[in-house]
Amino acid sequence: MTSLDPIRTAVAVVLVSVGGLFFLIGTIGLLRLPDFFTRTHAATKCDTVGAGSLLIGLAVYDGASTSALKILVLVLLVLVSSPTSGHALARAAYRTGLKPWRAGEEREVS
Amino acid sequence: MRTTKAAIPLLAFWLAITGSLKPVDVALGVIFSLILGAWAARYLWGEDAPVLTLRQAGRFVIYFAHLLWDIVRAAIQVGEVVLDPRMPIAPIVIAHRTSFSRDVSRVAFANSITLTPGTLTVDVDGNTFYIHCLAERFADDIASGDLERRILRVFER
Repeated sequence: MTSLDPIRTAVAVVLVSVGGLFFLIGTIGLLRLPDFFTRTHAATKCDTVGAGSLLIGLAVYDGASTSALKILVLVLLVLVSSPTSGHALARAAYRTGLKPWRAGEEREVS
Repeated sequence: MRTTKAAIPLLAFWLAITGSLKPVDVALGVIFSLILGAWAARYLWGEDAPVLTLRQAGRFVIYFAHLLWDIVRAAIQVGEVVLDPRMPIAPIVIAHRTSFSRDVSRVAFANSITLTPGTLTVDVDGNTFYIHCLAERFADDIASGDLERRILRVFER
């Protein structure tokens, strides 16, 4: 075990915690929002930032190493795949005729 | 030529993932990158290869930094909406017409919209984008054409 630089550890802890917080917010959004499309908003945005922040935190914790490089490649992958999969789901829903919820309507039960 | 262009990022990815410069590993990487690159250039790229000139790549870096900031803003904004007990949303779907000529710009535009505050691309039909907005004020950001201009500058000039 090498002794970790305390500032680096602190930065890593903050980044990982922020990532966790965004995952929590995304999940609350998933539960509270009224329909499929609005829920997709919460899932794509909060999960991208949550996963990104968490992974960057882990990369910082690991320092300059090949694992850190691999983690950063993963961040890029999440940045591209998260909106793409969110869009694929939303598009499938839209094309099969799911009507977006409008203000004033009853909340969809699911 | 197209195969080489597709193989280079794949090889970079391989080197990052294996994290090894041993001749055997590098040689394997080159072989697999070329095979996959030939396949990607032929079946994934279509007519117009998503390749950037050096100047466009430079602009892309700036664009990407701006996008990262937008993504963080988007997540915070979703958080504000979701944690607000009244949940102030009034979703609408808008159609937005653009003047892109490359697929790579359309992909970048659609994904950027999904990652920026309050908007989600639900469908793309040629140059018309159908965008789900959490509230009308988010639609104004797209309608202003700012994002579209930035994408055009990166990929089409």
